[in-house]
Amino acid sequence: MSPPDDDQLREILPRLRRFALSLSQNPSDADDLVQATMEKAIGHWQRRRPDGDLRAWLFSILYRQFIDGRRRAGRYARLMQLFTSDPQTSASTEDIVVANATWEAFDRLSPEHRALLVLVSVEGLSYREVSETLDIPIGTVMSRLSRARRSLRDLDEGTSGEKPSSPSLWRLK
Amino acid sequence: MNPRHPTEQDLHAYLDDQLDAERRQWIESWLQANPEQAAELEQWRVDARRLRARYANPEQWPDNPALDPAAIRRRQRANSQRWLATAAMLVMALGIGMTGGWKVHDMMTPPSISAQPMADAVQAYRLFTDNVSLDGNTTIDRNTAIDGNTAIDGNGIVDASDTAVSEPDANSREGIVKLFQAHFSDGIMPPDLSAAGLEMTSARLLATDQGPAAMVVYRDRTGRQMMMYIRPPGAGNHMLEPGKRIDGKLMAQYWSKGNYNYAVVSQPDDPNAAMLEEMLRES
Repeated sequence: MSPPDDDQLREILPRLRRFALSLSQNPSDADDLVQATMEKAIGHWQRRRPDGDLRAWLFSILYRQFIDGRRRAGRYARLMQLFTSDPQTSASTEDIVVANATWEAFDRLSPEHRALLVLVSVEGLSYREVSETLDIPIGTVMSRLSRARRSLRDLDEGTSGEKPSSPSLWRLK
Repeated sequence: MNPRHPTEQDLHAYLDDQLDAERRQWIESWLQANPEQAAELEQWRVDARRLRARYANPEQWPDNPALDPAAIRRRQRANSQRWLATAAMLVMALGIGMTGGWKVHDMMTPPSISAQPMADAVQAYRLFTDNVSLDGNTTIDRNTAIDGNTAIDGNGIVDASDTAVSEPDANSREGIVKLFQAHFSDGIMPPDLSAAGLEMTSARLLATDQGPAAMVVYRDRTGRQMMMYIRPPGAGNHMLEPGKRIDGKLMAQYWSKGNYNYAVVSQPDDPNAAMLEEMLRES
């Protein structure tokens, strides 16, 4: 298989960062996760299915990296330290902040539910693509999606009259 | 035929536009007759919209140059070169041992240029750190073949730019075979391990005081590297007892056979190294 096309990868990069942010909930950690994903994708390019969707493949690598790391480290904060062995190449938290566009109810969902909602509602992946990305049966995708949406409603209604927030903006310090 | 009521999963699939036209229309009709469920579905739709808004426009986030594919590749190349440089130092240190009789006082007294025990180590290290062209996929460096007997300058160090000689095209296994036929006619060829998923990613000729040596790097599907090293025996035709040594994260297995000394350098837990060593020793 021909080596990865950098332009293709660059085009998907923002979406990878977004997916990583939805999982990690921290821009610096998210970029570390994306970096580890890109390294793996470039190193394992030969294993990619030629007819597979590149975006879904990259999402699946990222999600596996996240889940594997979480299992290893036990806690998310410790996981991310695994990806920051080279501090010169990771994003600096001092450079990037996220504006106060929070949605506490969403943040309190489990990572599995957050991943599912982002892939379906934000990325617009089909249930089958989500099933492949998260490596779960399609029936589980559907039942989990149902639970995720109900959990989000329950959590949102339980919060103190929070209004829908404006879109999240990243800005330079 | 549709059941009388859609399931909740049908409603989610409707919301996510995962249904065919017929089923979609059926649910739309059903929702018109069931305003309570329609309101609930509308709330899910609002949530989805809100989520999209929250994560909108990631392409406008501040750029992080470390994530660029070219930067990732550069770092991977640098890591690969560091590995090779370490491996080179390990086998060259072994080369010093191969020459035999290296005593501390030898280090304290200036040896003659041609007999410097570290000449090949210095040369190899220099080649690997100054003139490495490994990109992990294609590179067989064919411009660093050096005649070790004629190219050593006044400091015992080879300048590759002055001494590069014409060699067969080594961008292929055939080229590597030709290189070995030219320089190690009675030595053991690096085996073809492609059936085991190992690709030869580079071959490199190196100068020693006793004649040319060579390193052939293999890479498996996961990117793990190992190296075959061949060199003439040291001064006094010193042959090696088979052995191994571990230096940091690398292991060298070494032995002598025929007119050459051999080593396989790998990560200590690389099972491919044992296979390569066995093939070479049984050749």
